[in-house]
Amino acid sequence: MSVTGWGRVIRPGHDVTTPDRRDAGRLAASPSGPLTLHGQGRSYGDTAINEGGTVLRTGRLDRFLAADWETGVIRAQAGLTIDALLRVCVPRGWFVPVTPGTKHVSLGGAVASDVHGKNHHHVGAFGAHVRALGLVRSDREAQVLRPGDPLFALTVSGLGLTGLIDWVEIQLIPIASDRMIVENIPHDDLDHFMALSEESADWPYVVAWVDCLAKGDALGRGVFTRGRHARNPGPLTPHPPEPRLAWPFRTPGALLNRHSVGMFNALYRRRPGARFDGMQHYAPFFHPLDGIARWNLMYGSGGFYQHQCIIPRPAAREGVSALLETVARAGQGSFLAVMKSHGAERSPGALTFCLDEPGVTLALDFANRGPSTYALVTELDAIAHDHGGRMYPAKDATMSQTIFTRTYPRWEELEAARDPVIHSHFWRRVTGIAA
Amino acid sequence: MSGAGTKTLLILGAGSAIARAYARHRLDEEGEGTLRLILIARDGERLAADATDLTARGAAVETATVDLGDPASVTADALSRFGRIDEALLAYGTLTDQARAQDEPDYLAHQLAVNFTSAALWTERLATVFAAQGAGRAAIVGSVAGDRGRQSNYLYGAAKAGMATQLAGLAHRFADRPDIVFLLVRPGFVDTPMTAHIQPKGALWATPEKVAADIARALAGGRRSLYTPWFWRGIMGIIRSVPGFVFHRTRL
Repeated sequence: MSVTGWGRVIRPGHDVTTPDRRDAGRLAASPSGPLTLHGQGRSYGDTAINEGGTVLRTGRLDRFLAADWETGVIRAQAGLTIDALLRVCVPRGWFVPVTPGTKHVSLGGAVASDVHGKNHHHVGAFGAHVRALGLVRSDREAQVLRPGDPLFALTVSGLGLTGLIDWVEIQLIPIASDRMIVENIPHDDLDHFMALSEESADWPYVVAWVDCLAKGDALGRGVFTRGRHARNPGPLTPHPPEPRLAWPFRTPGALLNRHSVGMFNALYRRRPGARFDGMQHYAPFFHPLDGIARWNLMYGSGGFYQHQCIIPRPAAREGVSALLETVARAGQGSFLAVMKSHGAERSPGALTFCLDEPGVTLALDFANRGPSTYALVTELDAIAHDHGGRMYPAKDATMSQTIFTRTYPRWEELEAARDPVIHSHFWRRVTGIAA
Repeated sequence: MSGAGTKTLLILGAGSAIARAYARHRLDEEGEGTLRLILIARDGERLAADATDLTARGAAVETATVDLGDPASVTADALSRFGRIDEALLAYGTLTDQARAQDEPDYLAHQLAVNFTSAALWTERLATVFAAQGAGRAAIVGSVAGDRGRQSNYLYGAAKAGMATQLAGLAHRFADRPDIVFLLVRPGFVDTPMTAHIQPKGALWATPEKVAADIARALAGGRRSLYTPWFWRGIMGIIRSVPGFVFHRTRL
């Protein structure tokens, strides 16, 4: 069985197990080496892969354990996906408090990577909405963790290293309709983006798509999107169960070049919907790429790198300019450059990506063309680091040990709390600690 | 419980991966508050967990802990206490270890009791209920292994072939009752805990969710036979038609 990260760059061999029930008691060590916990495989890099060891997939540990549709508090096994949860909770007038750009993530993964969404500036990351979680370890009995417990803070954003997250209890948010009120505003450059971000502070959901091949005066141009749940009662229809479109095969590398990306970007900004104002279902608003199954194959047989960093607000303009200039110069532009202004972090996670001060995050992806792409991405790592920023472990495949340990100073606490039978390719790479 | 607009779905072997996927799929299709689910399985603890899950997803759930594979558990009125049954899925079974079954008569007897005898008895109970109601649809999970005896798994296959013959007979018996449907489902390789030990899993493997969706579509369409995924129909067509003198040289 082939298990990879979503970026498909690192493809190690390992044993895979997919239990559909958890045996009572402690987490068992795997006979073939260290264990890595793997939800839906939507982390781009190597946080959920484990060369030479065992991968435990949680996809079948996906039962609801309790659901109170009066209060919107649900408790579910950690393998339940946001996709499955929304199918159930939307018809009852509830929505997840935070969703990343794909709904195909497990609750356990959302906790372990402490994911954020377009509403980060209002509500913080996913971990801020977790009321309790169950943790199973190899070296002690199962336990219930709540905000305030030291191990809770290390499990939220703990990359699955503190034990198997058995279940997660979260508070959903009420919605009156499945519709979003959305405004799309093309922005001309980085200053325009910054101004729109300021002006849109009251909007709960904000994000921008960036044409990362634009240079000079047009640097940072793109389409700024803001939205909120419609307040008037409306239909409560969940998204359709299956995407209608699927990327058919791995795109031959020759078709992905600066011309095709440039054409895509130019068309994307001029497309009819680019200035769309009005009501839209939540699915295309929150999860546009989920409409195309297996879109990661678009990047061809080599896979792709995703690079996401956050830079503190004071250095953000300069830092983002430097990143975009580097990308434009390299000519390895991406289709899916996404930029967002973040608020000060409100998450209990000890190693959460977002900063405890306002910042700007930029996410880029690059088809893997071998050493030149690796060099570009590590250059971006260095630029972000030089501007006081850091990279998102759930997306990272390149960050150096030096940069990781400097920018996530609480990593040693996580190492101390790590379950002795759990390890991962990522953790070995960024800490140098062998299995 | 069974009010207007509510359908009752009975699942025999509710703990199986296909059954769990099927219950969720049907619930998703029918919508909240319109499905009464009767879950029957041997493992009470697991049954309770699945009942909680499906209740949260909007079903009215009843459960019964029954050792389904024991033919003695099938009394003449075993299903009568559940009232009207609109739809049923028989999904339990056990994968027979061929070598052991050749050597150990007790083991083989037990395997046949689970995979054929008890399943045949439950299926006849369903036929009785449906005949009295004048309507009802049931999907019985068989296997492509029942299509031709092969040295590697013919004792498992024989039990499944028995089910195929029973269902062919039921189709004949109810030929003039179009509202009574028995569907024989022949899944190929399905990625479930029952097959977890088989590695690696290639392109022929399907998920329980895919199989469940296929079953729901076939049952709604009133079909009597389903290969899932669809290409197994072609594969088994070839395997059935290979002449014996050629077939016997293979190690299938």
